Amino acid sequence: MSELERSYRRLLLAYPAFYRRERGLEMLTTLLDAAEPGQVRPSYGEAAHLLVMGLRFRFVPPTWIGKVAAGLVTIWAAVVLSGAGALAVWAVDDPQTPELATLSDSLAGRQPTFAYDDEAASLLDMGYAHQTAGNFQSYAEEGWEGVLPAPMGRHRIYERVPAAPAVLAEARERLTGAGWQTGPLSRGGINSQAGPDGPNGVLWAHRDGMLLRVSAYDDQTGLTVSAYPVEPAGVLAAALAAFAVGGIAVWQAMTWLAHRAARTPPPTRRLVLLLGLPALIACGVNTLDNVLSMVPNPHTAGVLLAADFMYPLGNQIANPLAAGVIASSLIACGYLVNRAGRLAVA
Amino acid sequence: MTMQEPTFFILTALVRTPLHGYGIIKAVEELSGGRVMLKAGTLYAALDRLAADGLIVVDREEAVSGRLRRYYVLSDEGRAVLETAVERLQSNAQVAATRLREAFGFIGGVQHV
Repeated sequence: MSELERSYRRLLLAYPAFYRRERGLEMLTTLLDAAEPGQVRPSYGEAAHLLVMGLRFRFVPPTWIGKVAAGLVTIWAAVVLSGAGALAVWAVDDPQTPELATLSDSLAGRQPTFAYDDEAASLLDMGYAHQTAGNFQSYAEEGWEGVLPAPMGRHRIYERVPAAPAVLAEARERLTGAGWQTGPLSRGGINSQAGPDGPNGVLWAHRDGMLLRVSAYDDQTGLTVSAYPVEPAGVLAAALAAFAVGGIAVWQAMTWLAHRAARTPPPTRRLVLLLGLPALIACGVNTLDNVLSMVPNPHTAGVLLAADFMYPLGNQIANPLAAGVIASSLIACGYLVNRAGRLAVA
Repeated sequence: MTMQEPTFFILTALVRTPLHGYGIIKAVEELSGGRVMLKAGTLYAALDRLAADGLIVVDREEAVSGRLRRYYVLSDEGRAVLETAVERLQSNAQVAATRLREAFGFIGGVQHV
């Protein structure tokens, strides 16, 4: 193999594999046919042109319909995959709901009326469902600016506690003395049970990866003490990384599909578009749902927690309809394009 | 739809004459009087599009000693499209020539042989 041929072969690697299988040898032949006698390497212009054209085949879908389709599927898949990135960090970090009973009963000075844990079937289920529980809707108004909680709490309810505000203030002093980082005594938000004119009703504290929330009932005759693990670090970074990596991969795959579809006869192309349409609609609608549900309602004092980044994936498990439509529609398109490709070769 | 010049010359080159890649590049250069010099990347992007639209078809393949030459030729559909393009160019040229002649009485600098 000549030096020139080797150079051309290397440059042709810029083209996607499916294109090289179809055209690689033919293009190489043409390039060598067109070479000057005695030429040992491609000119810079020629090399740059081959690289650009090859990358265009990888990253620029043909026709505006191809671009729109690739865009919708890519953004949907990237958002869902960002949920997978978030899940990976949660699964590795594996935060556990801390033990609460002894500390809580000692702060309240009595036995609880009842106790319960936040129940979630899985991490994904927690990411999907925790906002509907509304536990953190007034979070931003509770005066706490420290680490954020993982929404997997353990709660103890004390009813008929006389002078609950005094118990709350005393709890703050005891926690501070025991080395806890304590937030201010806060009245809580307008959504809190304390009410805007009531006395201070909420306190957050943190020590050794455990977050404590003590709140007083609005009639000041009861206390709720909750414990949460601190949310894992790096969830946002993992979600963004999965979004980017997954997005680039899916964009390339969709570019490939669009190129294949563009090579089929017009009747097949129309059928592919018809079958692909439900997927495109589902991608658009589901992406809107994912993003809008993930971000807390701006009319509340909720904040974006690390658990929320799992929502786009959790949503697919909880409501598999959209993913089902998208998958079956894309598989049908792939089958049609593949079959037409085989016919064309035969 | 207006046809771009490279496409126009590729189709023209393939009228009744099956040509492979380098053959098309040479023919297009010659037919265009050296104005259109196709690069391989551009040529194959154009051939893909023309083949997908059914304007050209593969006439035959020659695979010899690690080389592959596909010969393309204009299809009936391609011939119809090229004829339409030619009529359009002719009528465009005629309109422009008439206007120039009306304005100046002659077309300056153009020698009719």
